[in-house]
Amino acid sequence: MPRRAQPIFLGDGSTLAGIHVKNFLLTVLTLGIYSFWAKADVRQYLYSQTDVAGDRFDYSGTGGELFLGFLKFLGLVLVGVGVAVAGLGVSESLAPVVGYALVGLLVFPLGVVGSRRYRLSRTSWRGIAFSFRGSVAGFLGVYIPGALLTVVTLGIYYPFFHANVRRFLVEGTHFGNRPFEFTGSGADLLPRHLLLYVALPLTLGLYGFWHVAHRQRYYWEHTSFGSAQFSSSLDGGELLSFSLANALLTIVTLGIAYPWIQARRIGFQCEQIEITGTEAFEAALQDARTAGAMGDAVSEMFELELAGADFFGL
Amino acid sequence: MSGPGRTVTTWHGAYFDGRSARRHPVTVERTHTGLVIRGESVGELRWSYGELRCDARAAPGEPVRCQRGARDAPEVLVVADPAFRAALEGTKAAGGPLAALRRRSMGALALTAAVVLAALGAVWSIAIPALAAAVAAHLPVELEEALGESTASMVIGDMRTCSTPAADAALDKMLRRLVADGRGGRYRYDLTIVDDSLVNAFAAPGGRIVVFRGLVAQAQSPEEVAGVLAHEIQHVTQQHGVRSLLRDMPARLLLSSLTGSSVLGDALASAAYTLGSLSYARADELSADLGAVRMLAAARVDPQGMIEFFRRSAAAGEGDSRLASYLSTHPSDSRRVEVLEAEVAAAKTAAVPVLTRREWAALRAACGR
Repeated sequence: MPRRAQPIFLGDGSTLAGIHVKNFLLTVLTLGIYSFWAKADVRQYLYSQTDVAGDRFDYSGTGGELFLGFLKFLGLVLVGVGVAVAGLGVSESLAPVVGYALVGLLVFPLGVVGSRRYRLSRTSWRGIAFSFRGSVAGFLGVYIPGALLTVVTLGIYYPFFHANVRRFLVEGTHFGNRPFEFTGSGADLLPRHLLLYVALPLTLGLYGFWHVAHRQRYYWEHTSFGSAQFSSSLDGGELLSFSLANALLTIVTLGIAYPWIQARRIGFQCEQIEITGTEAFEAALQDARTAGAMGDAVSEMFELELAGADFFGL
Repeated sequence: MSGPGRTVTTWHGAYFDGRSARRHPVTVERTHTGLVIRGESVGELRWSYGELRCDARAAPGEPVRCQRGARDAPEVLVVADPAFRAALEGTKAAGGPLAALRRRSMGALALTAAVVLAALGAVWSIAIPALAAAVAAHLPVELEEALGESTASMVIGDMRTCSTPAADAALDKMLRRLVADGRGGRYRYDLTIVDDSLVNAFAAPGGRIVVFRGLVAQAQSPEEVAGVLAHEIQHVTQQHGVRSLLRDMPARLLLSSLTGSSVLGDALASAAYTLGSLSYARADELSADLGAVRMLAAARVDPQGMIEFFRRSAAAGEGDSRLASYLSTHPSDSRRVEVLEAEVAAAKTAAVPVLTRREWAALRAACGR
């Protein structure tokens, strides 16, 4: 009989709010420098409050690492600006265009891959480290053709693009010495995607919640780790009421409810997921990888979490 | 502790060997030298206090996590019982062997903060200005000119520019005197008088210089205007504008990354605003003053004009005079005048008048008043 487990979030909004208040004060007092330590602090709390099969995750990343990553990125930007202006003689009227194009093309994949490498390398469960082994080149190989094809096909290719990015992210993720597996395909999502063109306008966009919920279920049901199989019970109606409640809470409390919403969101995400056959995880052997924090600094700097990296979800 | 007749306290926990994700249920016992971990699947393990690290950062009631060995693949012991935590903390408080229970002491935190701040200060005051100067020196002139042009048009806004053939000729003569023999560096200068009562002048990167009508009106001799011009030209040749822009860029990026939002766009917008605010750093002002004295001496223009102008604007600073507005962007005080007088005394040269009486009158009438 395979063992089953569900992630549980043990944290609460009040503790999280306390952490945020302390972080806010220290960040102001240090003219912002503390924000890196603040981020590490929040992550440490969130990870250590997430439990799977009786054991919590551990996050060992530090603010110092993030700060160093940020300084490295700053150095790169300075060098980049210097090279473009002094070395390449870029016309100053084109400089912003070139800058944004570079940011769009490079920072996004760097941030996505680098930040995953860093965060997963600092995350462990039962003393075994996670790691992300996908490369920037690998991501670009999925991302650039996918984005182009999506544009050329007027969006019809989009589910393939989205599923391919998901595959890249899932299959690059390792627990110990073993990768997660993804068996989903954009072809399975295509009919639902085509339905979207009709259903979205008819339902004033509300159908989007059911669409996203279905896609999440599909993705989890096609994700496994050896003999361990993931599944999700996410429902469009639930997702809609959850999102509406969060939006209302934010508006009514003028954003003060943020920590509680953050805790609620993680709890909600955990509730949907179930793992069958957790013994597969016990067979994993330690195989830790090192990773620098620059990608994560990039990701934080450009708020990729909000801007869309999270959109591809994991 | 574990003397005869006393029961030994043990706690239940979970042990992970750092090699596989298998969970080993264990009991933990505390001794004088370390922890003894026993379990069916692990036998007996002895961890000495010196080699283990316990994390007590989590709030009371949270499990204590101790680990031993390599940082990226440690052995881990997790004990949820709050009594275990209390026991470890008690050991520490009693000066026992468990200094390994790591708490971030305020002293260490303050020391780290001080070191980080000192390092940042060094980067700030030495490395960044040096880097900014090096980059500025390699900027193409066209880039500086474009930057200056947009800054100047922002400052001028919809103010009327003043131009008569005679006034332009006078201004041009004055300018050529100052920048002759390569004293103006690699820049082509473009001087504009704008019709505004502000007593001020402003140099944008690339050689774009704006003089307000008020300054010409308050000046009592062409030498005073030439002195202010020389000062502004020094800002251009010494690249104070682009240098301060480059110098502030890291801080801007840092700030806008902390507040979120479009990082580069914001940083550039606020940089342009600073350039347009007419003021430079105090050190840059002093450097421009000294450079101006040398420039005037080389051009054989009487530097007393410049000193006289600064002296009057410094004196006006106490009263409510229109002349005082020059002070708001050119920090001027008696010390500045003293420094300049010393510099002038060192570079004594025979002066030749800058403009004829007729040319000076034409310049003063540039805006038709």
